[in-house]
Amino acid sequence: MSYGTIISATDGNVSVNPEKYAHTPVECFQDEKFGCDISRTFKKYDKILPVDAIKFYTYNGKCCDDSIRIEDGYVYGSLAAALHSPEYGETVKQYFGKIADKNDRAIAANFSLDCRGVFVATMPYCKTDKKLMIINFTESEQPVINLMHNLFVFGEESCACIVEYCVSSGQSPAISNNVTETVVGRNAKINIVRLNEYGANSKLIFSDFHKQCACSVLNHVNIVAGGDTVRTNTEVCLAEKRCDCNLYGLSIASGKQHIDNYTFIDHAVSDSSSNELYKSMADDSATGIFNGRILVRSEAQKTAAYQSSKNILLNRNAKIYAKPQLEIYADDVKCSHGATIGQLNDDELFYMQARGIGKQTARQLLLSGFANEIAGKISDVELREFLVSKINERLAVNINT
Amino acid sequence: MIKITDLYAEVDGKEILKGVNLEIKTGEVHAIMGPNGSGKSTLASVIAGNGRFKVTRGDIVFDGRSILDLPPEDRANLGIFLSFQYPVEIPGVSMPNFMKAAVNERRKFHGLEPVNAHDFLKLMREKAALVGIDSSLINRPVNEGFSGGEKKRNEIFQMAVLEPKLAILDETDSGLDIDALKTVSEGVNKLKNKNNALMVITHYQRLLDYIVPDAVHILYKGKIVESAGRELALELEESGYDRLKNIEA
Repeated sequence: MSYGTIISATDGNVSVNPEKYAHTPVECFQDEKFGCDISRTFKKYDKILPVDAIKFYTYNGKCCDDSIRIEDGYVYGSLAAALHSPEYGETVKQYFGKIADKNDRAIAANFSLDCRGVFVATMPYCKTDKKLMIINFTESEQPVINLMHNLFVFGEESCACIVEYCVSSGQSPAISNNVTETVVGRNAKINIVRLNEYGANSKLIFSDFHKQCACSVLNHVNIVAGGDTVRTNTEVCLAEKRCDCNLYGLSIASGKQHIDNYTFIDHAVSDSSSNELYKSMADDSATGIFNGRILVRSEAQKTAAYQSSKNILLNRNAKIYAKPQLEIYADDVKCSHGATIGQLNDDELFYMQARGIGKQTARQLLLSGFANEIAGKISDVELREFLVSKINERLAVNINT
Repeated sequence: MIKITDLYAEVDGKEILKGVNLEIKTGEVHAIMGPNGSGKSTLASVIAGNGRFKVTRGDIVFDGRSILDLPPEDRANLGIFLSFQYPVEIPGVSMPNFMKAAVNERRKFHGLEPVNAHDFLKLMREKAALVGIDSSLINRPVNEGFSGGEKKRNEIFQMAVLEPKLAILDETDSGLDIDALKTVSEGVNKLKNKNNALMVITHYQRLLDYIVPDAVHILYKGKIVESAGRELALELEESGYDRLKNIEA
């Protein structure tokens, strides 16, 4: 991590040959602000994050480590290193760019640069309780642009849990346009959780493309608590039979935040089920958007697809747009979709007040209850408590005050 | 303990209470009966401080001070408890979180430190055993998916935890079968002592077989039109509310 990081460590395509560079001090290419030697910051996060997990850091869109490691059932490291490794190069070539929809402009832009991002794989039949936490750290003393492309390949019958924690410091504009491609192997059971706590200087597009193989289970939790303008795209292709896909989302928007969640579930074949719950709350003059589309193709008989969007407006000037969409071309399916937009319930508030709970505390409890239904979908106790504490922290800071 | 004088209240411009006078002393049990729409639940809501109702005249004095200008939470923390006729479900807020907030807000109100986790759990367990509520219920989200009887039992459980000076039971018997009525009443009776008071709102004297009142009042068209001892409830059971038809409120 201390040697020629900019040239060699993160991009991977270029490497420093010590002999060729014998008389040029490559150390001078390392800039503490720009490069990756910010281990002190990370050590701080290691301590702050009360989650027992393997921790892997990215800094301003680049992996802080260009090696590939194998630990507790996970193979993880930089995508570039994986591409150039004899063991995983073929896997990267097989899936990279094959799952994402490149017709989307933002995604095309992401592909226009070299692949820098995180590679994670699980070995077939490898069931691990250990979590892998990817901490995406953005520091914008200067304006920065992050373009990351992650690839997660989960082997057949594997179990894993990946937590992506996005956090930032600095006041200059920061733009992130990240793409993640995921392949969930046959019979695999995978949890992917993203907690986005980027600062108010951040404009973000996060695009996730998941492909599920037969009998696999994917639980995807997408929590947006930070950022200025945020767009998330979550697309799942249930490519083979008997898949189970659960998408859960939560956005907490205040000030002038704009949070737009788009989801697309493609029931391509029969006998799969999907269940989707997205919740949002908007305070001040913030905007929350849910646009969810479920496509049940004519081949996808015996599909069960449920979608629900629940939203709370906390201010006269806040806006919520909800657009649940269901397109069904098969005739033997069970599907439902719906959206609600409301305010805090006066009867619930009065009930709590009648028990001696002050109005402010009562509102906080209700909002926390509303939001933490999403955290409640996570079975891992430690991770759930971490998310609950983060959500409550966010609610206490500047929602409803 | 509580003295209500010449109380007038309205909701959405419609006058519901038209000069209620009632005094309940420490240690007493008073029953309020009356036909549908006579203002019984409104009276309970107004005492608890529900903002939907507007008091236009009169006063409510509790423990020597007027409470009309107090928000509902302050009234609760002074010792007024309303057992709701229709307890709301609050998905996402767990009973322990809810009760802990209630207990701690009350402690704060009285200048006490928050309760520690161990003592709180002990309190919850003790009170659950006292009122005979299933411990699985008190770990679920507030009232979510509870049956009618479970909701009412949960109200009494909350009453047990909060130990109010004055408990107002608003049709706690409605929706209960005979067995549930009995267990809920037993819970209430265990909580009753000479230092607190009860105001029991009911349609039927059945509940009063279990919770024996010192006085029975008939509320009709927003006014208390008759007050007497326990025998009044029995008479009403015989004659129904027809006898009220001659009374001009």
